[in-house]
Amino acid sequence: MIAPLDAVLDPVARTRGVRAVVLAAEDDGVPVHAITQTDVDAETLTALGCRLYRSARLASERAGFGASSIMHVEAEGGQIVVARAGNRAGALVVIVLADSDANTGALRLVLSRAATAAAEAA
Amino acid sequence: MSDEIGRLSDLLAGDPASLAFIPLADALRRGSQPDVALRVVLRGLERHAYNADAHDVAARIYADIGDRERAKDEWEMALKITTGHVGALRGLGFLAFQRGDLSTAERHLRDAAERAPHDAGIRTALDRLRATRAVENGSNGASAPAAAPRGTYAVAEPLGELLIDANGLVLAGELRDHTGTDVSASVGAELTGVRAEAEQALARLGLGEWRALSIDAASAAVGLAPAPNGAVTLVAAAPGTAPGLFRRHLQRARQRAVSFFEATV
Repeated sequence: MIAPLDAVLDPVARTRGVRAVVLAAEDDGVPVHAITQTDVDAETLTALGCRLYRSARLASERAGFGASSIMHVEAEGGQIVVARAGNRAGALVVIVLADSDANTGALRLVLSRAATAAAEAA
Repeated sequence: MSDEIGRLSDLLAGDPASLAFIPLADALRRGSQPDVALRVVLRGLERHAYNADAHDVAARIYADIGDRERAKDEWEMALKITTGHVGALRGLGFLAFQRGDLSTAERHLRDAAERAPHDAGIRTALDRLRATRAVENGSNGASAPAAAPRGTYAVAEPLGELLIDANGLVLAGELRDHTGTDVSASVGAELTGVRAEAEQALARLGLGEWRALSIDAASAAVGLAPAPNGAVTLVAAAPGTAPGLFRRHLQRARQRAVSFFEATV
């Protein structure tokens, strides 16, 4: 039997190009559950992903754009996508690290589904 | 901001029946404390259930946190209490725009403009809305930025675009929020700060140089991309803008940034 959080993250982890997917509490930046490839340090990814998402979320709110649901950073060597699970600030977030050539549309789709499932499971 | 919140909190503590809860809730909303702002305004509404401005502020808070249904309820309530309430008309126009109901959005904004003819923000929002409608209708209206031929896809133009230097100062462009206020400077200062955070994170993860950072927020899709000389280009588009189209907007903004520096060096 697949554990509930594995069931939430597994579809993301199986998406082509995904190297790591982590469910974490935004406030403390510590992983709640993670599925990663061996070369990815889940704790570092979570800490940096949560911090960056929090920074972007607060800046967006202060700039008057309101709460943010997804943040996407593209870089030469990969991409990081963070989706908020639930409507409250400080909620759970799902963080994905993927290759730079991973299909962005597919990533956003599976990540949104995982965030919804995580919010329901929380 | 915190001084204002403190002053209004003291005022409300001294007279709990006063209307100070309205500016206090709005200040808390602008200070990114939506949960507290909501508690304050809902408590105030228990005493002042028929205050249109209070419902207007409640609606803004709901809009900020992405609860459009409640925002709509509150703005409709404000309109029932005060016919022609400008804030409510503007808010309902914004919500209609978000869900793609451009004719309703135009009707609300036109009503707001008639009641507040000197409000430049409403006028600008109305002009942009009409330009968007002209594009979607494939007309050749003078205000349309680039009319799409009939039978092609409608292309929604971005809400605004900024070029910001390495110090967070606006070099070019303009951006207005849903109330029509020019927010270029504050948006530039706030969001370019995220760039340094992103660069640090990417360096720690060994991912190299950043290419773009985008945020899907309640009232806009916002994107940042690096520009020459340490500058950043920023694009804001209506929430729900197709991600692929948004990426093209951002790419074009980057090209314009390069042209800007070539022309000004």
